[in-house]
Amino acid sequence: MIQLENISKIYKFDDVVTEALKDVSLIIENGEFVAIMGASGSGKSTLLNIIGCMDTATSGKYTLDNEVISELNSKELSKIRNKKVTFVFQNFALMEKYTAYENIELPLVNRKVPAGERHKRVLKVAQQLGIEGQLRKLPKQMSGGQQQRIALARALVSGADIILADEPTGALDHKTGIELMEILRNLNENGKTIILVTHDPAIAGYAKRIITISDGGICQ
Amino acid sequence: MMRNIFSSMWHNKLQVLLILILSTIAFVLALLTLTNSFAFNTQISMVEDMFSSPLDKTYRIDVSCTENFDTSGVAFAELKEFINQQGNTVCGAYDQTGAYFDELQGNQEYIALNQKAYAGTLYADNPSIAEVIFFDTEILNLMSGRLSQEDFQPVEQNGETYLPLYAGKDFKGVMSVGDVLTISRDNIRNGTKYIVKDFLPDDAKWFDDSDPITMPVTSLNHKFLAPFSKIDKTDSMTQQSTVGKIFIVSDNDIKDSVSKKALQLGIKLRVTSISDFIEQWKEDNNQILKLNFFLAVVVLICSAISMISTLCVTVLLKKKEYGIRIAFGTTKRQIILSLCFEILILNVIAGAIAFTYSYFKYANSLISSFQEIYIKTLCSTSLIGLIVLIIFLVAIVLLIPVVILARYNPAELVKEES
Repeated sequence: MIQLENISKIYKFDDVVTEALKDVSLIIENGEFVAIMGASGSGKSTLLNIIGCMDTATSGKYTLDNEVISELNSKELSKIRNKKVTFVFQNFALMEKYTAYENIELPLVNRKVPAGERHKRVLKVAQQLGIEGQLRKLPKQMSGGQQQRIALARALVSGADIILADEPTGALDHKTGIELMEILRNLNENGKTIILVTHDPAIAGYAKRIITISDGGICQ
Repeated sequence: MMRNIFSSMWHNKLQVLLILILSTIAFVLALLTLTNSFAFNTQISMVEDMFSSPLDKTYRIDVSCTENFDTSGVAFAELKEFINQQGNTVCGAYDQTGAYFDELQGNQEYIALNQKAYAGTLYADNPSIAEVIFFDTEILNLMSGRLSQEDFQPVEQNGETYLPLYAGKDFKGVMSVGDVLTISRDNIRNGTKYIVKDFLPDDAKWFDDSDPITMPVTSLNHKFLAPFSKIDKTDSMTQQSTVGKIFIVSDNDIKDSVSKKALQLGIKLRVTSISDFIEQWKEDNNQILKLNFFLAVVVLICSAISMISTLCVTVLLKKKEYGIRIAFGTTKRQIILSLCFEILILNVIAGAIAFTYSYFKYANSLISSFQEIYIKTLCSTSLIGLIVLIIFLVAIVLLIPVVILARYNPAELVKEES
């Protein structure tokens, strides 16, 4: 369970202070499919980054599965990012000089999983997503849809229960976007917690709960 | 982590190659400078250690010309006698030459030994030859070592007179103490008989034959030591060969009196104290070393700047990759450590290449007498210098890129466009 209590995030650039999140309190149960909606600059990505331990809150308490995340050091946070949460980004976030295979196995390499075991798990996920024929290719040799499937495979291979998707269909055409959302829905039905950031109501419609954020605060 | 490092190196081949080339050039120059400098000092110390007398009171005679070659042997003998008659003054000379001992000509064991020792040298085709250092016994008074003039007094045995001969330790199994060796094939020493008095110790050294000061001292393991015979002392050919290898040790300032006497005997010469000679030699050599050092420093600075620039650009270009790695569980510390190890590995490889190149350069291009000093210096002092240099260079080169990397915000990195 994800529990945020009075989370605030303040950015300071020289003398300019920007409050990206203001006293955000939120509970997301395991197995939920939540969409976070809001205009550009509303703080939805900041919220997702804090949930995903990519950023830390300026104040407030964040608890994940009874573990107080806001008290963890950077090494412990990296373990959370490796095992409990995983990401799917709008720009796919693939390492361009590395093959699809190398991109997918990244979380397992960080976890020091032996090469043989890594190979099995990468192949299994690739088969699930129908990308086993793309594994030797570099990202630039693939279409947007294929790249997003590679990114999704990387998220799934770690076995993390929480998938954080930041505008995952933003760089895809309508048909591919729908295909991806169907995959995410299936994953949710199989027990994964999905937290999706989007500004598209049609995409948010796949979620079971929609949270709207505006000027750093939750509206509904 | 090592897998990530090698994977990163493989995916950035051009950058790796650039750093490797720059570091290798810098390290080769640094190694050559360090080795030349330290080897030069080692060589000077070895030469200085050969003298038992104070260097400022020990002189070297350099003969520029003699009026009459045929009588020059007698003139040299008279000059040395004149110097030795001065109070607290000793004069002596030496010359190394190839000689044939009759008794060793058919000795297959001796020939086999020489074939091995002289392989690739001028004596390779004459394996029955012996390298003998002939000398005035007075020279032993100014040299370090266990042998004295008394050890080289003629030996009377069975009514015959023999000149004493000391053999290098390599010949221990080939001949014995008391063996008589005769030189018959030599025009000068025809029929001179020598008796093996003892074997020289393992660490026995002598001045080089071509130049006693600027050339490294030579091992006596495969050589013989024998005093000049009476004929040798006045033989012009033999004495002309000692030019540049005549030493005087004296408490008095004998330069003028020696030059004056020499002129009377038809010899034009220059007397220089060993300390002055070494000082001048150091000065000349230091100019070359300074130039080498300056070049090495310039190349090192250029390499460091190039490496810093390359790494900064790499760190900027790989922003997105770092962000992705952090998002999937890598810590910033691991990324910084990977970068450090990557540069360290590259520099160690560059150092190994530079060391190997320098080793073979010295092994192939130097004459054998220099090889020992230079290779020994390369493998000791220079190697330590190289390790210190690698650590220093890696630390300097990584400073700026690591600071850049530490300031990155992971959440922003992942959104970077390529």
